[in-house]
Amino acid sequence: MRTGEPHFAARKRTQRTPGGPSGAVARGVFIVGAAALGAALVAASAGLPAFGHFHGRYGVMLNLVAVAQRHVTDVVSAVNFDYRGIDTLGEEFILFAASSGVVLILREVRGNRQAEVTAAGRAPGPPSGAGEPSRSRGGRDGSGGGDAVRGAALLSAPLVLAVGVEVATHGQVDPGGGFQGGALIATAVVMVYLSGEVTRFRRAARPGLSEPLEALGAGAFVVVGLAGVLGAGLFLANLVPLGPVGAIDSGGTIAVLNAVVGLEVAGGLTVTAVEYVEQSLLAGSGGGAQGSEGRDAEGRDGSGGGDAGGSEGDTPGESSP
Amino acid sequence: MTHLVPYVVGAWLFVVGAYGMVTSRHLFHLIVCMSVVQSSSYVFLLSVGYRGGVGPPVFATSKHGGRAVDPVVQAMTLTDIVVGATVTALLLGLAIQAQKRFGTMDPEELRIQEG
Repeated sequence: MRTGEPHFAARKRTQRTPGGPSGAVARGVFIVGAAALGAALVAASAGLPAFGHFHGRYGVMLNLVAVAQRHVTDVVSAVNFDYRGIDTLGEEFILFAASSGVVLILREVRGNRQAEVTAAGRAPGPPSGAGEPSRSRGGRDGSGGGDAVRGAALLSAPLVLAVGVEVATHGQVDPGGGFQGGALIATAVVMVYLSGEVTRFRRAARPGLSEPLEALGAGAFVVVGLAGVLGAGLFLANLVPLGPVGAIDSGGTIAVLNAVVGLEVAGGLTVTAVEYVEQSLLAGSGGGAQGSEGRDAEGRDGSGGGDAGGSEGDTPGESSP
Repeated sequence: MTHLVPYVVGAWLFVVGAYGMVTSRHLFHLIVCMSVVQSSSYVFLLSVGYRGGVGPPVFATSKHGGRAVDPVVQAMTLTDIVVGATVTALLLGLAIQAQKRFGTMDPEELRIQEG
């Protein structure tokens, strides 16, 4: 436990009922329930086809027809973006809704904190980063890593970006696709942050760019689906020429949908990452009380994990001042 | 009995993750434990779809006889992973919000403050 603990947390801790029943009782109830559940799961697994002998008819059928029907060589992509395309539309919007939720939750927190921190003379809003404190390139604001880590992150970022674009655009040919590629592209942006280049990170991940890309990707999926309704009377019907098997222009709408999902995922994860990074920068930037509050979260991270890991955990933190 | 091993691994991940959630004293720890619970479904789905002696559902030509592992459960696993990642992101945001509002990351203390 760090010394900079805010007083209100300490006060709350003393209010706890000493030796409360929660820990031991919860554990006892859980062990009984978990033992029963685990036994039931294993017993139920005995009724499943033996490992390696599954013959689900849909999978067998799709393996037989997908290449001929859709000219794709990766059947998983064909399932996700064609045979089960409407489920993937829902999946994409789950991601969209979740990243919007993160932005809503954290920007509210950030708004409150920024009002407090403004006195410290820092303006995290504009992406220009002209007033960037130099210590956010070092110490705990940045990656916290050494020069080797930063150099490696900066060197790898363009490579990861290239791999991400490759994965996102080759889902119809190779394992991969829009979701995986989009995640890699967002990772490349985060690696810029890990390299300590906070200003460049803010420029690469500025909401003015990532948010429209996310919305464009999400909307384009619906547009492709509706184009199928207009052109062939079926939602997500394949209107684009299927192309030669194994080529980058194969798969028709599968390739198109992979690309737009790649945009959506890259944008959505970048927006999410920016919110978390701004949180950590804010926690590090505030002097005095704000800073200690931010550190407190980390201090407890260790103690909380230790409790659940091994010790009895009935009265953790009781001994702290 | 060996044919049960992948399913037992899935059940073990589920139970051990749930144990972490029940005994957790820190919201971040709790969220990571929930990811462990969720990863049991990845293991389970991929184990169900596996077929011995055949390759991945990626084909060079259309003349292959369809001998490959099940692509449908693999596609479902991808959906599973995406949903798991988004749920984790959202819960981490809520955890930060809880820390800012109540000054604690301990679910136990959060409950006391509520009551």
